[in-house]
Amino acid sequence: MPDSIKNLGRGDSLEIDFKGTLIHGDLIDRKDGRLILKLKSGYDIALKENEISHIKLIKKSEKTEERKPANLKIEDLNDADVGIITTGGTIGSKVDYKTGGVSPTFTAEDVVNLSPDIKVYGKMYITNLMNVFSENMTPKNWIDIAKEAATHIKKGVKGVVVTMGTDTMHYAASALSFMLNPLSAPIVITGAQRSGDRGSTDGSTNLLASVIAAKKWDGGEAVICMHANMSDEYNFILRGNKARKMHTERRDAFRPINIKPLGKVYIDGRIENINEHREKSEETKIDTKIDEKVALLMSYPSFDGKIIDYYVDEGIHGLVIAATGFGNLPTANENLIKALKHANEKGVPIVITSQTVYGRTNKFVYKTSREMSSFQNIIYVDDMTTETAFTKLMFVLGHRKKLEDINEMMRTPLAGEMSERSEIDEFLI
Amino acid sequence: MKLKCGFEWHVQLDTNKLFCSCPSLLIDKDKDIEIKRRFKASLGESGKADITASFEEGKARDVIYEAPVEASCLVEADEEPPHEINKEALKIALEMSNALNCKIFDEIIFMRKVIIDGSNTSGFQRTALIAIDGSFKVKDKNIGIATINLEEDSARRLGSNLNVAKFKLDRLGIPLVEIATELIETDEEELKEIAEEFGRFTRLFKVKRGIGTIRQDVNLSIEGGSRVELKGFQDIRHMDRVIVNEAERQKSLLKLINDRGYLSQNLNSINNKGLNQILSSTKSELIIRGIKSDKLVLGIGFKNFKGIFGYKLCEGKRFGSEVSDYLKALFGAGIIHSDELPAYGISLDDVRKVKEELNLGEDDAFLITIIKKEEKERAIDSILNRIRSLLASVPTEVRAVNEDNTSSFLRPIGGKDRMYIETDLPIVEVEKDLLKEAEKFKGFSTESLKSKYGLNDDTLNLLIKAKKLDLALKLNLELKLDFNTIKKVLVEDLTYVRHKLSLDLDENAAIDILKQIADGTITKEASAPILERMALNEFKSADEAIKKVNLRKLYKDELKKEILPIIKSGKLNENDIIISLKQKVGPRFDYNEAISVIQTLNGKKGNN
Repeated sequence: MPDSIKNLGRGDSLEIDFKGTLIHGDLIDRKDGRLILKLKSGYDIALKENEISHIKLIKKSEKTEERKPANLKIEDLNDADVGIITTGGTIGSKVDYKTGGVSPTFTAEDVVNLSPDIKVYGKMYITNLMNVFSENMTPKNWIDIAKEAATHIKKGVKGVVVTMGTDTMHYAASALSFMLNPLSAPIVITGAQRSGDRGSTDGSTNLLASVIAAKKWDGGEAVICMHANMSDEYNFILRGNKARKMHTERRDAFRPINIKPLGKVYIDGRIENINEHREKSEETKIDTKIDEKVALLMSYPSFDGKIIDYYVDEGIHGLVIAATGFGNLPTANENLIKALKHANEKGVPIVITSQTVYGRTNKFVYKTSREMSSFQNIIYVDDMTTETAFTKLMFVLGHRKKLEDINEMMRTPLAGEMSERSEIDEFLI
Repeated sequence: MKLKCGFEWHVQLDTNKLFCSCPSLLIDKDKDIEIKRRFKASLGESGKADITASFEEGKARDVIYEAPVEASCLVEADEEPPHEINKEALKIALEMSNALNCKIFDEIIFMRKVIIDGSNTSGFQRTALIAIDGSFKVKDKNIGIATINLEEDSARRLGSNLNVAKFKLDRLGIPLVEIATELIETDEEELKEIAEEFGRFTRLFKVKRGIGTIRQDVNLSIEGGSRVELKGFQDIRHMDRVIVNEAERQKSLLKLINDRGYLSQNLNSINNKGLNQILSSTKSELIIRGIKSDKLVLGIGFKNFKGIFGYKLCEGKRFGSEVSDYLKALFGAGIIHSDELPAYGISLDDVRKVKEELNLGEDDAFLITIIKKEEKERAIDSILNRIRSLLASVPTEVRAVNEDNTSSFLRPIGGKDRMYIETDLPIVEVEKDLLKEAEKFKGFSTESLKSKYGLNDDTLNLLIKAKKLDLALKLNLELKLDFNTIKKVLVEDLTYVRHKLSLDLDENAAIDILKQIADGTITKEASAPILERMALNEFKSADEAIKKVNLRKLYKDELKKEILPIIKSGKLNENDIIISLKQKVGPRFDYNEAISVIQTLNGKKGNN
């Protein structure tokens, strides 16, 4: 390797001999023993350093000015119609076009560039609260978001938009629905499945639809606003604690579970209400007391409860188990029964949901579940989703200590997370 | 005429799609899944909106896609990231690169080329540079090959009405090899020859055949004119006509600029009015429709412009067409100009009314366009800019080739700010084995094939046309059979049997037969009758057929046994003996062997 390679830096203009042809390009990156160059045509090529016989520096790179964000007037929160809180995720990502890496910052200007039409709907107050991918989100993040949203609402915005990664969006939405309850303005949570650097990004219409919903929707709930189908014409407004990400990659990945969508919001500004929803209250109440010592399990054939023992002995405060069918566990296994007994004795609540995702749990129909109901700590929660049961249990344990009180609060709808009726047209929609 | 030009050929490969496992098929069905999308202008690599994207901002961003499930999946719908690159497509691209004597990169980086006319669902095309600096020989001319790219084809346009573009996703993702030449100094005749020879070259590889499977773009500089990119030649036979028309167009425009270019000064103060009222009683369907759908019938007057719009540039194009095509590209609406009236149902009386309204006289002209009310300012700006530009010089731009051998404005030539790295794919390290295999194609061409294998044009063309060249070369190598025999069995006999019996017969049957011929079990004349029996399902394999039916090639002593009686019966002439032998035993002997036996026997007899 010629000595000259060692001192090369990003942006340097180089001439390289490639199999007898001279190539001219700018150095973009060096990694794994390769030089990545950008040619005049715009194409990138990769050349192994140890295969380069001749390399010449044509021009050293100039230190380019950091492109200062344009002087975009972001209105004072006191004035704003809608508050936008960004927290990261695909919708909050920007690509460094030269290297292809993800840029760590996402400014208010970036938000407006993603969806310039939001300006039509009034004054936006935009704040970047954090920068995490949602798989890394923690309950503490949910608390911070709740507090920021509450501040916005107090200052008089008509609604708050929260942008985040989609992987755990339904967890966050559920948590917010309990922490901000009741709501005098909607919290509209959205994200993107396709990155914002491309013209086809759903982040653009998602943000627009969410701003429209935040400003104009008459509900007082924490909702998820994402694509209803593969087209960009309208989004659904979904009750946040009854929604789930049901596809790894499709724009319309978020579906309502055991409920119909609450409404539709069109990118031309119209809103259609489809379903009953909670109205705005007089005041927003914030309560972020949660107990994070909760774990989530999924049962399966040969599940024997050892993990339950482990958690109980480790001092867990509550468990959620996504059981099978109506809420069944392999109670033929003696060890499982022992584990449930053990948890009961230690006063650890176990909330039972179903891994079928859809439908209502029922503890009376089968012998196995009747057996389980003999334990005080086993709690069935009707048609609540598993993820919502998880966040709700955290919330409940932040407020109740005794098993029967925990049971009662888990089984009482706080924010529309459980319904009494299973309507016929609520499956696979 | 003297030209400098560069070619850009886009060749569709006959494999599955480049980034998913969908078949590369065009589906024509009535109803498909429809997806409606709205694009946002995205910033090119430098962070500035690139010129073409800003141009496209003038176009509507709403696009409808039809997604036939037989030939498209979530990847084409931009609902799933690209899969690992199709290895077969890469292989063919490497073979072509070697055949064109290029220098090949052993690591490939895919880029996103921003395209927002809707023809890619993601808003960009995935493309990678795989080789550079090669050459292609046409007769005695060495044409430099600048670059070879592997990329995905775009969605199929289904004709766009005002403001909404419609595409079909079947074509999106079909692998394309893009081959760009260096600038060539040539003339329009030679240009056509080069294109034709290149077409022949591509058919040596596993490429799709038929109209639209090779698209040719020509980057053209005519002596004295401007550079234009002519896109989308589909019929090479008319290439020279298109070039001649384009040269004519440029020449005429330059003449107009020379004589009347000063008229662009008049453009600073033109008159424009909405004509909905005064044309409310016209008989023109076009205008009536516009008024009914609440559009603005905009009239713009130009002082001293009489004869300008109607000025003929070349066969099929006038100055007015250049303005009309430009506006159509931006707003979906063309123009009507006074030089061509009365026409379109617009009467002389209508013309008089418009002229009065716009305060125009004998030496003046006007144009009419029908657009949305809110587009008025932008439309006027665009029209004036276009006319100014046309009166200053021949604009450098991208033009689409039309069926009548003219070309029309398509879009401005894009700048560099349009590409950035594809982050959903890792850098593709080309496997050493693949590289090595592809190296065998160095210098591969019709000429090299003919000289290496002693193939004549007819045989080569027949094998290429039947898409059996690859297989024939393989069989020649493995079975050591000559190409005439291979051609006979693999192409001629197989086709004959399929045609005669209207039955399908797998080419494996033909391969089977060739193996038997190579083994000496049968003669090549026996192939057709055996194939027939196999087609009728009488026998599953050539082996079985040969055993059951008496078509096995005769051994030498058997041959003697058959010939002897014929000679004894009095036939002396070799040909007569052969004919009788044929009648007796059918295609069970090799002609030369039989002759040799006859001669031996005759000799013996003679000696007796």
